[in-house]
Amino acid sequence: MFTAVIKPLGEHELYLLLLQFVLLLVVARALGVAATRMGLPSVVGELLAGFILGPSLLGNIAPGAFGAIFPQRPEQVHLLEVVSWLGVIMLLILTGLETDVGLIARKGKGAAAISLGGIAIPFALGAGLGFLLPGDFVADPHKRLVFALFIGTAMSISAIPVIAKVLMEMNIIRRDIGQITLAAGMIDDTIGWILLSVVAGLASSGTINPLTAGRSILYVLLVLGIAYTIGRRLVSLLIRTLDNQIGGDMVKITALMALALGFGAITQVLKLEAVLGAFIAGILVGQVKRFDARLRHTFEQVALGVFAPVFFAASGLRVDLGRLAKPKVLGIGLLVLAIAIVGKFVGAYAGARASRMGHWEALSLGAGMNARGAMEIIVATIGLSRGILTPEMYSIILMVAIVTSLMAPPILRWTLGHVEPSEEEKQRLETEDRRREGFVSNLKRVLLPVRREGDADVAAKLVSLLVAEEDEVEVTSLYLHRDGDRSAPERAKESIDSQLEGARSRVKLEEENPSKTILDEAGKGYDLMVLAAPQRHSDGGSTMFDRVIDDVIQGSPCPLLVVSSPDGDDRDSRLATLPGHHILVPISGGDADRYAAEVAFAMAAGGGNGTVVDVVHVVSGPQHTLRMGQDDALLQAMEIGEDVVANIAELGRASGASVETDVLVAEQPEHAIIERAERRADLIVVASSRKPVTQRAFFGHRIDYVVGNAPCPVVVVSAR
Amino acid sequence: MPDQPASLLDLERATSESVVHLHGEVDLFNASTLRRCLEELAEAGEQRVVVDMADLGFIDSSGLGALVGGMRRLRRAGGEVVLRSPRGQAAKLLEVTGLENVLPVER
Repeated sequence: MFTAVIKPLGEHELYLLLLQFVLLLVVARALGVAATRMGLPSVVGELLAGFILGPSLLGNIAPGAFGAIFPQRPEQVHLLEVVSWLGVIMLLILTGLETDVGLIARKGKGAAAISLGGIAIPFALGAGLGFLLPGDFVADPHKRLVFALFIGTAMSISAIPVIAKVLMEMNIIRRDIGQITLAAGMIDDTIGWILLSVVAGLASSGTINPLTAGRSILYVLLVLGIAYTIGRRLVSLLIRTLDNQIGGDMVKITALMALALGFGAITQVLKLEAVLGAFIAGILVGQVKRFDARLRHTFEQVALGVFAPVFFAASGLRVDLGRLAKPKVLGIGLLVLAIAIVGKFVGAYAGARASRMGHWEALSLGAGMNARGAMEIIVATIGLSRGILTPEMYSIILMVAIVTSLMAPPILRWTLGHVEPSEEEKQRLETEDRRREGFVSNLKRVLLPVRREGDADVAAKLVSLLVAEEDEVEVTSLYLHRDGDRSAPERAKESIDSQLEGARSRVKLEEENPSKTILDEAGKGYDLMVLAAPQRHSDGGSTMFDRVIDDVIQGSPCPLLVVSSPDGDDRDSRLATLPGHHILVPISGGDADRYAAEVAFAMAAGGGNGTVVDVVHVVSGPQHTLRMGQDDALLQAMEIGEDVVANIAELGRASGASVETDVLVAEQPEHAIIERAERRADLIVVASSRKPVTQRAFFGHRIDYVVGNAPCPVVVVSAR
Repeated sequence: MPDQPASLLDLERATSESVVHLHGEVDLFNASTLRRCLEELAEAGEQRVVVDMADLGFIDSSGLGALVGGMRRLRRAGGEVVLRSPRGQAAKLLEVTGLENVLPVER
């Protein structure tokens, strides 16, 4: 009985689907780009594509062509609906990914008041209106309660992308007002999707009574509760495991999509709307560090480049704008629009004033929250497909989406122009600017491969100093052990665990090619690899450190930090007592200096008060090349050297390190550095921008000399 | 060293020139004193500064850096630095680095 043959998709149906897809996609994208060029939200143009290709225009002027391309047969319409739903799911994933839980937590208090005002007032007004509207606007007069609640929900939603775009374009997104607007918008979204789920759940459960209402609310609470407790951990574990075992971007995108579809299926079967599940999946994945901004961007390009435009265009396709031209519909439409706008402005303004914000800030929040954008179109689509909205009401809600999205940017630009940043805020912005360009402050994942027990201590100590001031760094240590001897890695692991709280560790058998094992792991998207190496005198031998380390240095796909300690150096005591000591940073004036200096400043900060960073530049003596009187070159070199150390020192002081500077004159810079280190240095941090060209690891002759002759540990930062 | 002088340098100012007498050792721990002294003379618009190295036992790369840095400032302000009577290690270092070829040295 399972062998019943199902008629496959017909050739013509497939042809029509492809034709519809390409038409909607191309026209939507073209108008979307045109809208963006005119400074309008792209969703407006994309929706317009649907009006042009749909009953509103094409259906009116060339009904034959419209009927041939978009035949109104259920099976054909459903095919396009599947594509649209994928667009909706992807939009909701994106919204979830961009929901910054940390931001909401930071701005929570003020944002919550704004959001509550911005939801409660339009919701109440919308629901009130829903009860009063004439019966022919209600799809099912027996379900007027659901209809009223739905209109309330539609009035209370906000569109973050429209707001975020204006904030970004005005370069205001990181300012207090920008952050609180975003946070309030995100809270709005979250509450909006929950409201929608409950209301749509009521609609599909047939009868409305306290029991069905209670069940919908209970399901929502259950889903949210499970998602934010167990779900969050499971999602994080899943992504990390997949990344470790398989690695690469593709598997993470697959996981994201699968999670969203899976969660969507769960919320759908609970009659809560698939969009809620996809939104939650987006939020949970967005909190996993491994799913970084770059990956989000990749996903965004596919979502906004292909599927979302088709969804918006298809939304415009469902409606005949001609219906809006009827005086009664137009009148009701304008009433709904007025209530939507007034409700949001008043609600958000009142909420902002209640949390003691200024007049202009509160107005900006009202203007921002008022944009409904894509979110409203999704709400309207759900309303139509659940039989809550009549086609007239659907067109009215689409109109609300368009008008509010169009009016938000100019008003927002005007009101935000009146909001001046405070001194404290300016300082915060400067610090953030510096950190954004920083090397250390942008570290997310650090790999620490360990082969020998002793190496573990010194490298772990340095890493712990380096990341002491950073909260979001994930350190992974990789232990290679020889067959049958797991005791050394176990001891190394203990040592690292004691120094680096929360480090993840992986133990692998050292096979024939240990450097390949390390490089394979390093290829999984780390920002930095820290290698511990024994000091070897650089006598021009066939390796700089040893074969494995040389190979790893040459093959590393990520920036490197190589720590080399002299034989018999009492590494522990030297590094453990770093406070009160000196970190010597020889700089040459190249781009790479900054990285070494930043590493030193971070370590000094991690080592506590009293650690001094000595920023030193060496001017080579003119030796015998210059004759008497030709001293300009020397004085110029001196001037450049003084500028270079001053710039780096400023960077360090701005990040709170105590810095001393010196410009030396010596015959051989590397000798002067070693001489200086012998007098006063507990650690040398030096940058190399060299790419090895030979079999042997090579950081440049001077650095090789320093590494080979230093009386203290040397850290070579190779950021390439 | 038991008979190390209390101060690194003595400054003797005259109308025609200022003389900085260096004693003992100039190294990374005190080179900044020399650097500051030369900077102040440059700011004061001194035309001719003589650095007397006759009593100088040792100078390192920091000390040379301070000398060249000070000289740069004096030059910019229209002045000149002359090194006088370098001996021993200091004379050797000026030779090895080639500084004696570009800085005015009075033996």
